[in-house]
Amino acid sequence: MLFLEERGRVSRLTIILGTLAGVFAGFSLAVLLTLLAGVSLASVLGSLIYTYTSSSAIASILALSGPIAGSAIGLTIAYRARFITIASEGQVIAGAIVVLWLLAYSGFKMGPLEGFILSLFLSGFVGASIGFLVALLKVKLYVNEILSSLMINYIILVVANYIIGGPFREGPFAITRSVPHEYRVSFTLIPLVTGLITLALWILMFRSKLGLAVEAYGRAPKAAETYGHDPSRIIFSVALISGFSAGVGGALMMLGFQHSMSPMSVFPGYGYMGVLVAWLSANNPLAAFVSSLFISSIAVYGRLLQASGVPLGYVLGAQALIVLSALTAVTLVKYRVRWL
Amino acid sequence: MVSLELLLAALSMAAPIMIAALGELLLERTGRVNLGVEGMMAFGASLSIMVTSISGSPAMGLLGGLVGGLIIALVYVAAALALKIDQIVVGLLIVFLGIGLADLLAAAGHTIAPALTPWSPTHVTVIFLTLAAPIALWILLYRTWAGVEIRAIGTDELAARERGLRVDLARTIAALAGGVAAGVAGAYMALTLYNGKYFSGLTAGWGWLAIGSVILGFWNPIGVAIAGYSIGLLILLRPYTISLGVPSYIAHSTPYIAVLIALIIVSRLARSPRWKPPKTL
Repeated sequence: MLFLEERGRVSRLTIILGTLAGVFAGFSLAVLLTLLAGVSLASVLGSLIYTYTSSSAIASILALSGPIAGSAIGLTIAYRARFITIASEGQVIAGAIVVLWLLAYSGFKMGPLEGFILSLFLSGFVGASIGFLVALLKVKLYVNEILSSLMINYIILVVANYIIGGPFREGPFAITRSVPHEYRVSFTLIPLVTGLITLALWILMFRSKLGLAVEAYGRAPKAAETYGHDPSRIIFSVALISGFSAGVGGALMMLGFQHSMSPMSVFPGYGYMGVLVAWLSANNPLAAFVSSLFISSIAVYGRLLQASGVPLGYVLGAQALIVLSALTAVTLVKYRVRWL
Repeated sequence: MVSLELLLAALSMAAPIMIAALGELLLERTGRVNLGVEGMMAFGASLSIMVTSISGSPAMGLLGGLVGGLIIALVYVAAALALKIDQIVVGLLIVFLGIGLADLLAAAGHTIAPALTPWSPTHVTVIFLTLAAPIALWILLYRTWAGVEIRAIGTDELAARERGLRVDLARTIAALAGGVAAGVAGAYMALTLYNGKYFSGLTAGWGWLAIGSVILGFWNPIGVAIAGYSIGLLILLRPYTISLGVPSYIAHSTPYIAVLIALIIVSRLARSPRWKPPKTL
């Protein structure tokens, strides 16, 4: 029988190096899979080099990191409280739809700056509302948040497709209007916004009473409750924060690179990528910000490989493989595997 | 009007949810959960289409799906059971990994295969096994020593270990059985419900509906089968609800909304000691 034996004190540097080694191993495996799928070595190497050296690919990495980081940074706080919501996917979609309504359908006249700020707040509000619903189901009705948030994601997808193909339909094809040019933002602004969210949530997590309560509750819920931390308040707080952040991610997606929408047969996946980033970064907001750039680069690499016949579904699979490999490496750094 | 034809059609539709849910139930009774059912189903579906396309036999395709689910379940066994990585994290990673690998496999050129014709001998066998499985599982859990051991492990892991029960072995077997069930369920979806086709997003959340069925059925094989069947019936009735004037987006959301409402009811009931899930879950 297998069992794990603790190696004793392991330094933070060793854990970071272990994580990086795991990421590298997972990344190598993901690349190997594309070769096994029949993609030529030249295409794989060419796409890899292009992803990390060309200015247009780097611009795409920064742009795609918006919804990924938006989801991930908020989730780091939620997961620290052991509130395992997956609603970020639906929150990104809902945030994007509401921004599209505000800027392309509502008819409100506003300048680019007002439009930008209002988009962030409105999408954040919608994301937080979804988070509130998931928290309400958990706290008041005891519903498991993983399942409820996933069901809500599917409902949001169906409703979003109805809005896109119905009230928002523009012309003979099922495609919406585009976000007007004056409201679109440059890819350089996106990491700036997610960087500010990171900073705000880092301060909230490590320099505030709420952060302390979240940490205590996540580690030992019963002890935290005994010491006067209200579990309901903690869960509602992290649900609202993570929902707001993911909703803003949806706004960044719409303002940064998506601009218009067509019916989705599968989830776009940015919210799910945020879930992966949160785990890859061990629920640290700063690490999540950096990791989201890396995970975004895998998405760009996957998109480049689409020309060689690699499906888009590969992207999430490759990212999952990398995270699984990193978690395995960290376990092996901390523990020795023994046979009994 | 409820007819035998409708009830049988619902059974054919519900079969993958019922099969996957019963596999997951067995694992959950040992006190562990694998949220990766959706990924195991997707990989099973893709591999079954590849095997059927090469062999020309849907029966072989079902076997391929079984192997596909088993392969992905091995990832769960290695990561969650052997290395003790958080089972929730591993389960969700398996969802993405399974779907990604399934799409990649399909991109290699096998997306169409001969379908498993409804009510052909192989299909009837699958349906028969789907109906027999909850009864067999009920007998296993409540009328055999192995079942007593499984339930003991799910109720109190430490006591089970002290009594000399092989907790890790039981969980490994249950996890692999769950993978096999999910793989067959995915293969059935691709070969029967989608007429021998694989496409990205094929499983459409049915793996999650299967996990929901386990909770809705209060971790009892008969209850889980009834829950899975009811969800299948709701899915089958979607076109009828649209024809009655219900907006299509509401009709398409019905299974997810129904599961959400049912979860609310069940979660309240589960507060009473009589309906509690396995304690170590």
